[in-house]
Amino acid sequence: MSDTLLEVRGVSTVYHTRAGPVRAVDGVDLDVKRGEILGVVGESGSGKTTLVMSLMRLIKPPGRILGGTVLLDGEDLFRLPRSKMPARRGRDLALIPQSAMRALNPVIQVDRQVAEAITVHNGTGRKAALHAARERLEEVGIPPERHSAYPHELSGGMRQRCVIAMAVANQPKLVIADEPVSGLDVIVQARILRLISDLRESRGLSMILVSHDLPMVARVSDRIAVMYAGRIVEVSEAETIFEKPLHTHTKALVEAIPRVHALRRRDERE
Amino acid sequence: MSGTMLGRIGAVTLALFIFAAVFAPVLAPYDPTQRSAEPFAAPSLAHPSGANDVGQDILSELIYASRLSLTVGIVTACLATVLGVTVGILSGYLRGPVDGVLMRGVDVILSLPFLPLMIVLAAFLGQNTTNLILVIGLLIWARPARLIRSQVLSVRESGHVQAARAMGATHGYTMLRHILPRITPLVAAQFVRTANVSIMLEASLAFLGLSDPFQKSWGAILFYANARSAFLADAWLWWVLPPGLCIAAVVVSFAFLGYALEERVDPRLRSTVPTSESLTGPEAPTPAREAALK
Amino acid sequence: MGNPLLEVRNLDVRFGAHRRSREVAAVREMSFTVAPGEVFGLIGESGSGKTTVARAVMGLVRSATGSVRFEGREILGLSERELRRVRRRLHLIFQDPYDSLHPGMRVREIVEEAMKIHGVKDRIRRKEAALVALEEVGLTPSSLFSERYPHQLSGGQRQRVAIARAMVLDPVLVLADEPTSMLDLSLRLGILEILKRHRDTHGTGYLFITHDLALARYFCDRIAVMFRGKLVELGPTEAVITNPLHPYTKTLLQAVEELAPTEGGRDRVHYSRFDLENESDPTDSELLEVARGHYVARPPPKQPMSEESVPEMEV
Repeated sequence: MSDTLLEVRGVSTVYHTRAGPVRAVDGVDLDVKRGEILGVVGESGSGKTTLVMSLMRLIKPPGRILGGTVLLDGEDLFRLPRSKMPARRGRDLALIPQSAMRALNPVIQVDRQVAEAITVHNGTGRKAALHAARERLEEVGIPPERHSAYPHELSGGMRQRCVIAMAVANQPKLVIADEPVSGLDVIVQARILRLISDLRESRGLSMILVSHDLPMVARVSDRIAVMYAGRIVEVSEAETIFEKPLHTHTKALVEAIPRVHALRRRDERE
Repeated sequence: MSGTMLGRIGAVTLALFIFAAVFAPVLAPYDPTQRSAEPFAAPSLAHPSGANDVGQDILSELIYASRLSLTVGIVTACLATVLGVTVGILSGYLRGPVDGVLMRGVDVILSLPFLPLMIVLAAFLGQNTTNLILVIGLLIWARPARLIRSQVLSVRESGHVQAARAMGATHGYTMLRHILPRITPLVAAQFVRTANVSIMLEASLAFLGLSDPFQKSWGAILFYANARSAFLADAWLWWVLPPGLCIAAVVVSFAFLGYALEERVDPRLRSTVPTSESLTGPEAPTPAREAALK
Repeated sequence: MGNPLLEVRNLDVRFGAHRRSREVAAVREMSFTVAPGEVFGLIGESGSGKTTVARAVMGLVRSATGSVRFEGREILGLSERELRRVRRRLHLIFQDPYDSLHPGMRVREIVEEAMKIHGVKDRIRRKEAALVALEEVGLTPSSLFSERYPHQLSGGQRQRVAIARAMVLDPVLVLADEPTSMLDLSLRLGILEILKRHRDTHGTGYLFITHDLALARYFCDRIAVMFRGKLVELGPTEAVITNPLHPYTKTLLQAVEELAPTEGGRDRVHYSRFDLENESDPTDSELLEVARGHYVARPPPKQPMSEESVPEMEV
């Protein structure tokens, strides 16, 4: 079993717009090692969400994946017949989507939703699945008395925890998190990130963390890939990306970010 | 078939009918009020749609009748739309007691049975075209008003509306300059629907003999056809079918137009992604490159 | 110092008939002042009531009680007509650049609108003022941008238009409600630069509402931290950030630290673990002056200030 869990080569995805075809993802190469968190950072329009959707093969017209290979543990996901993808999604490859409210069914209690995620991929009986679901929910920090709540009864942070529970319930090989904390309060963000970090340690998860928030990503990831105009322009260790940004775009990003505890204040910059 | 395609078909068909209505004196081969053929004459080259019981050319009747049917439809739709928009905007924007009163009025109207009411009113007020327009128009504005109010309720919460209010805009200015432009697509779609409904209602009332006896609409032609037992004779083919088809064609055309317009109202089509933010350096994939990637 | 530009005293907004969104939380007996030309930051997360404060200051909240004095004049309870006159000198920049611009108006018309509403009839004058405003926010060439529609602009550009619109009548106080939170990180400082420049050249005062302490540190002279409708800490920016006193402020700063890389390693810094859910309602609204100009609300008695790992609940 090699060190590399995910090997992405030459993935390109195009969108057919009224203004002509637009390459949202243009020849992307990526590697994710086992047990690693790879951050993918890009601004709006960089193509990062399209990349995520492409890896999960969730692109619909007017979008179209042009080509490339995505080797997950040696299996090329792009070569699989379409009918086999749903089995992969949720079991081997899990997605934590950007907006929890969109991922959760508003009329089903959250423990049942997590149970559904378990049953669909494992065929476990209802009772066993519900029990397992409740364990997952506790693992992500939702207290037992809230397990039977409906999504709208929970706060934003708690909903995101549910979604994370659903994603990791089946011990996927790779978790892709698309802006998992955007829109949440700062304190809640910090706690969710802590949860993700802890889960990585306790379960040995491998993860792709996609966001526009470079500092946040740098805090949690091992390596960071910077995306611009559909291409990966730089891949660096998270520890050094702030001190030694290589690509001009990365440099521009790093310089433009305001920090609370920066050593230099605004008047000292000039 | 996409909405736009349907819309084009509808628009073209309607344009043809409107053209026929406008240029009726030129297009109609005969004066429909004059006898020009044998009674119940079957279709021939001279009279493609045959003749009615009096001997008037049916084709000419149809062409002239388009004037009335379309006029009633469009004028009524105008009346109803103006009323519906006014009530919808005032209600949705001002809310509070104004909303309460207006919506109760709408509720009352919507709970009335249209056709029986219109029959009674037509019989009561007298049969002429103006009454017909008023009677239909003053009743069918209610449903559009509801729909428009709904959309106004949501547009009202938009940032730009709040920004205008925060800048000190008066209610009138805000309703006119900020709310109205945002609901125009819905209003257009409702206008078309309303026109449709009023054409059908006019045809129904005419068929029942309640229309203006001096001006024949398609429904009126059907009334006379029925009254002269054309339904039971061979004559139904050229006396009943053509006006029926005309009504159907116009109604369907309006409906197609309505679909196309409603598709534009659908927020799915309203993209908030600005075009200048999309990627730099998009290249059209050349066939060679695509092949190489496969 | 002279008269304060804005003086808020015991502002209170309760859940009444007005319940538009979850963000409309109660504001509980808030008091603060903004001096002319000062940048005053209001820091808080969702549900803290900060947006409600802004709206109350603009006179957009009918059920507000207390006192809001702008340039010495009481705003709460004014009629619509009287408010219009006030709104000439007071402007609000909204958070969502995709929503706050009318999609059917050109940029020029959007920027001119404030002038139009307040009776500037001369078209040429309006157009010139609009072009100048666009130049000031960096949308050059202004003649090109002025004819565009919002959907042809990026988020950052739209927000600049919103700022131009705010500045065109030269207000003395600008309320900015999270003006950068919907923009990419790299654009945020740029937007603040514009606001700063305007303050430096025109002496405008700001009520800057944000949850982002980094931005507050960059731009604000004094900041006030809000939690669930109450002011928990108030003071000069540097003082509050380097020496936070209230447990909530400390937790906020800790979270910000956690989300940003520190120099040298990613070790975790432990402050207090503020238990958001079980925080009892601090009915004690008195602010104690702890240092010069630095006020803190007395923290509720049950707050654990220890560092043990308590499973965290959330609001």
